[in-house]
Amino acid sequence: MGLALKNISYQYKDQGNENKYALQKVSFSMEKGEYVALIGHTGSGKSTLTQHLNGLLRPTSGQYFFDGEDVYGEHFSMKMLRQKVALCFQYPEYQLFEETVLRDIAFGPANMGYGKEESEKKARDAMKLVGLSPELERAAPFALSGGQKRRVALAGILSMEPDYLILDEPVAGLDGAGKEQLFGLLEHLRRENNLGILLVSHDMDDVASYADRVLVMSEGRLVMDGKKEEVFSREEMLREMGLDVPHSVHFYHKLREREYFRENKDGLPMTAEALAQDIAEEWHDSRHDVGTIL
Amino acid sequence: MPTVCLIKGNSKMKMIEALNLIFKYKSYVQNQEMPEETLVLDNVSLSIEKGDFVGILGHNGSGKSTLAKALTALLKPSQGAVYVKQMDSSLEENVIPIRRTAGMVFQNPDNQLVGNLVEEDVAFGPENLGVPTEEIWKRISAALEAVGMTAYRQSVPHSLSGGQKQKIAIAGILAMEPECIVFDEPTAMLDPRGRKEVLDAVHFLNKERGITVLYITHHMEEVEDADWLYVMDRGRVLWKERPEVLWEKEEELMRCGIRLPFYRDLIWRLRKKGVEIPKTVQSEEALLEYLTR
Repeated sequence: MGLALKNISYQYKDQGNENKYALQKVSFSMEKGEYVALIGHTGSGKSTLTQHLNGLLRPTSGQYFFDGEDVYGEHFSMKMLRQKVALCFQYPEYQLFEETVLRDIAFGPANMGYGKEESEKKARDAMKLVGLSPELERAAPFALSGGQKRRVALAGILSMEPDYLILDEPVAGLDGAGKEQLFGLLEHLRRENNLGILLVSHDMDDVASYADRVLVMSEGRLVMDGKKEEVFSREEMLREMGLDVPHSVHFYHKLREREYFRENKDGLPMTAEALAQDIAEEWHDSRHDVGTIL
Repeated sequence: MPTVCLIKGNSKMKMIEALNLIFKYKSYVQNQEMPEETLVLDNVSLSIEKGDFVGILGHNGSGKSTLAKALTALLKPSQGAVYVKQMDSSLEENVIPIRRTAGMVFQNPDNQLVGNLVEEDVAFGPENLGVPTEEIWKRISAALEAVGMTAYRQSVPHSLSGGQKQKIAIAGILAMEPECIVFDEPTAMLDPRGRKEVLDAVHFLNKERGITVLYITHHMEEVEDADWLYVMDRGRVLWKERPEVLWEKEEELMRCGIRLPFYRDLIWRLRKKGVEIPKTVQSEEALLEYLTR
């Protein structure tokens, strides 16, 4: 079950004699309820890959199975795939177009063939899910704040009841508080609705804080796929690819170099809080608490 | 050289001043006859000195971008006044000179590039200003050199990475020889390497070329070593502080939707866990030193 890509390659057309591959033999799979991050420098193939996942692009070669069914098979319904695997583009609020919030969110289900009442019911459910108050139903989307608009856009996607949600830089341009709210919402969707989440991001701190597993793309190839602690332990390799490690890992390594810790810790700290915990434990355990003069 | 140099010893020279600046707009709401008035900038006063690196922080909708546009004469004040090098932005004849003095770089590099080749793109600004051809060639070379993109002069902008494109956008502004550049979240769409490239370029222009920088961002790490930080909240300037002073206001900043830079956040968490960190620890390096001393 789940999404499974096997040796997906995608070659650009209109490139003259150049054989330029945007994707080369990419294979990976993910299940519902998983929280996966996709990182890679600009032009590494992240967008091309996500567009394959919901059927916007067809590969030059390779196979793709959705819940065991061959996506490129004769009888497969692409419409179903696009509903099940939702793609949330960068700055999704630019795509709002209806006169009221409710109508904008209900557009998806209506387009899928649901009647007005059913569509609006799904829209109201989605509003609740993303934490938009019912009073906003009749508001014009353009009169809302940036963070609210993004929630409307996300509700418009969730109203189609997808199994997987792919998000391209969902917090770009949001302030600290808006960012935390949005990530809280994604975590909630995964826990309560068992949504599979694929987060495309340039922010290593966000990736380390929220995802469990990390995929790394470079030059059209999938070069790493593993638990975030494993992926972020390869600082040098990530740097070479124009990427980075989270601040907490970077600082932790520096402390290790200077022998702050008497023993090696079990895992790398993925957040400032985890790092603070590690530091504080060592601080209180060792030299500093002994004989404190009050 | 593409820019006017910083005049040493004349630190009191004002680049930009805003006095009781108010900006509001009217919008028509469905089924309502009278337009609703929204106050975006609410009595903002500020003063930016020549050569300063000033960060502007604030939650979404706090008025940062509107402020930036008002300071570069892209918007006219509803009330109050903006002066760029003593030129009043509400006077029509000052608009062009102000835009020559204070350029602006936006979030999305793809929306700012117009030329088929990098050099054509950089030439667009000075061409529009009526700069003689020979002088334009000189300016292109100088601008590309300043952002470290000389090797890409004949490249097609769309073949470049996000960070490179943004540096070309900056070079395009530089070719107009501004004394001040306003950056509105210039790294929001870039990968880590691109972000670093752009940041390095911005710091170089400020430190080495004396260009006054106004830098709007949600990434606190990018303004850690700014001269001043302004915090906007609901259209007002809440604080103008030196970074090290501002970071002491953790709780208040959190309420404004602002998160601390990494090392300050770490210090805050460590203190909560009973690890004493003296106030003199003012950088990531200093924190490392202190912990491992």
